[in-house]
Amino acid sequence: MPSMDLMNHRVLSELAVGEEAVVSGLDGGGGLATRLAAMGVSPGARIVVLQNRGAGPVLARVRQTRIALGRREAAKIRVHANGVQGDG
Amino acid sequence: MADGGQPATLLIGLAGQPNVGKSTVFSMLTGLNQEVGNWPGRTVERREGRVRTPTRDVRLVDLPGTYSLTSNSEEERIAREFLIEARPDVVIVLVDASALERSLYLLAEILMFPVPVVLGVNMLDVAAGEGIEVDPPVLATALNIPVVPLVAARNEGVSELLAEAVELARHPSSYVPVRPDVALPHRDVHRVMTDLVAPHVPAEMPAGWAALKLLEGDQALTGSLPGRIPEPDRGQVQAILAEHEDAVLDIAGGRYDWIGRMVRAAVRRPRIGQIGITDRIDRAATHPVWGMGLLLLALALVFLLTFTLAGPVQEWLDVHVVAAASDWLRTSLADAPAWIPGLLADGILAGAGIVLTFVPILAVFFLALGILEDTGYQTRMAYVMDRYMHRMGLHGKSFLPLMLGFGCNVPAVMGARVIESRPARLITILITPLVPCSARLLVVAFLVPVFFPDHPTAVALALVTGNLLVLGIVGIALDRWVLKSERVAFIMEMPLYHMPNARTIVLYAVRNVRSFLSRAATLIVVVSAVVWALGQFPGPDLDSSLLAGMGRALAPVGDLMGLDWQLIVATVTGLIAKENVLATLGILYGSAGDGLAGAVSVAVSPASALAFLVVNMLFIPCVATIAAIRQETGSWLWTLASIGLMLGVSLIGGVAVFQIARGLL
Repeated sequence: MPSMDLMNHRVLSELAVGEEAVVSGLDGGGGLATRLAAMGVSPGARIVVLQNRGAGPVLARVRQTRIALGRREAAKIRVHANGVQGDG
Repeated sequence: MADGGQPATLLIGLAGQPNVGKSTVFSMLTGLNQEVGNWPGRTVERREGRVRTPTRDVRLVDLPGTYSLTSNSEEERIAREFLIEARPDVVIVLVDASALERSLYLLAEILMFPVPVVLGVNMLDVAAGEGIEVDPPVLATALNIPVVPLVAARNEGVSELLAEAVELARHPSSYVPVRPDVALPHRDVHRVMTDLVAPHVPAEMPAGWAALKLLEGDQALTGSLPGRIPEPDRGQVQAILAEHEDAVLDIAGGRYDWIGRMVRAAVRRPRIGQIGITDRIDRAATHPVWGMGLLLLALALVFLLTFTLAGPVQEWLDVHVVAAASDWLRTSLADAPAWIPGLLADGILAGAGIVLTFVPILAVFFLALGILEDTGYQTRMAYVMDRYMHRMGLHGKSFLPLMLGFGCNVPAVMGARVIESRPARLITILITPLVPCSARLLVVAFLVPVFFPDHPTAVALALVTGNLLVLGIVGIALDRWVLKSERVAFIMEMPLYHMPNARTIVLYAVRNVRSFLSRAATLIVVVSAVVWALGQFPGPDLDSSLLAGMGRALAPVGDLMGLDWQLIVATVTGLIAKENVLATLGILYGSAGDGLAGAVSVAVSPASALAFLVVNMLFIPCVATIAAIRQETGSWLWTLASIGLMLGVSLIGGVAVFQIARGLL
């Protein structure tokens, strides 16, 4: 699905606490992408932000696990609004 | 692998992602029959155990917990080298039933190898608590490999898991798993790549897996494999890699699609995600304000526990064991030449006594930290500290070894292994000695009330705060001007909170105390004996000894900080172990115990006293820490840099504090 819908495209670090979204892409090179994917953060995965305050790290729940992400890493995870993609 | 005839010992690997209960399963199976060492040439711990089963003897190797087999970390390289080079008969892959999809990701990779795999689905109780039901036989049918349900924490299913692995080793030809494929957009690219690399991969490496790793941008393989491929093909491989940098996501996507198909019929979960206890606690525990409050409270509790529980034990050991043994030595050796009981009692036994009396403090400290780790809270501390650690080019994980440093700098330096990138690890190792260890805290706790009877708590707090400030400044400076660490990614799983397990906590404490004993004990005893000799030679008394001579030679430096030669010598002997500072002061000021307090407070001015305390807080922690730094950095240059850094910082700190305090006090 080469989804180029620019609507609703944001990055994980922009989501507020409690917001849910679906991962749509990963920026920042292969090394980071393979690490994130192996920890469950891959396109199509539902992700919920559990903590995200100020300039600190982001805590998110994805595939039943909790992942802490540095702010810079969270900014490289592209997401789109929940429900756009039906897969769960 | 001799089938028929004498059954040889089976080699079985135990693999799994972190936090799936792998070490519990390993301990249950091997009990005390395990050897702990390092992987050859690596700093990662290797555990192997022997298990007797009714049919075969098994060598069980615990592989490092890894999320995948891409060569991002030392652990991942070790796990894959084991699969490729050690040629195990069977690999057991352990997964967490409460996070089944995510933990099956590693299985998706391991199935690319020709090694037969048994799957253990652990933590079925935790999953049930979250409302998730897993049906192992259905999963086994989907995957077409043996699947064993477990609750390892209650020792349920553990021996069945091994029995299944041994059984599979008898019929390896029956093993035909359902393997994942690359998601469609890149499936053909993977096929082409596999054909290109197949003739050139090392004999034991599956070509399909090697092709996947190249497309995933695996550092080790992209560095080594294309060089083995002759020219027309190599160019094509490079061209495909350049064109398909985005293949990474389709490979991962293909694995998760496969996982989705495998678990579809085997897992039932609640329709609405309920908010579990973990998420409820985390709202406070990861909050920048409340989380920080909790962290400080937890640390305060750890120290309170350590000093109230271990303090009395330490004193008891000092009086009833060390002093008693010393007296006994002197009386029973009364007829020998005076230097023999001197060397034994004041040199060797004094050193051994330091080691012995230090054990209870470390034991309680590490038991307390073990509880924090085993409940899962420790990762939350790393999370809360992340925003501050960033200023030093580090991230949250570096806080964990630094926290160990409050107990003892030796395990803290070794604990820096958890940090992935070398620059960040070096910064962590270099600033670790600035964390005041419990030995230094003891010196402060004894001397501050002597020097500053009016404001002991304020002065002690100021000293600790000063150290942490210097730590911050040095860390920022190192990051800015020396190591310029390349902003490593902070990605860390935060496990579910759970009730701590006594066995795990005790093992954690034993491991850390043992690392202090094995690295520090001999060194402390030897150096203690050497310092005793320096203090005796050429005689007749300490005042005219080599030790005093060294102290006097350093007097010009001492003058800048207001330290007389006795204080200099005390600082230098603190190199052995910080508790020595008190012992040496006792000898040099000619009295021990309460007498020391009176003698010292008369002889030393407040400004000098403050400078002395600051210097000792910032000075090289002890020889054992230096030895650990040498081992962990693998470089004398960095070890010398660390020593130079500590000398410089303590000198600057001492001079500044003395010059300022002299003007004020």
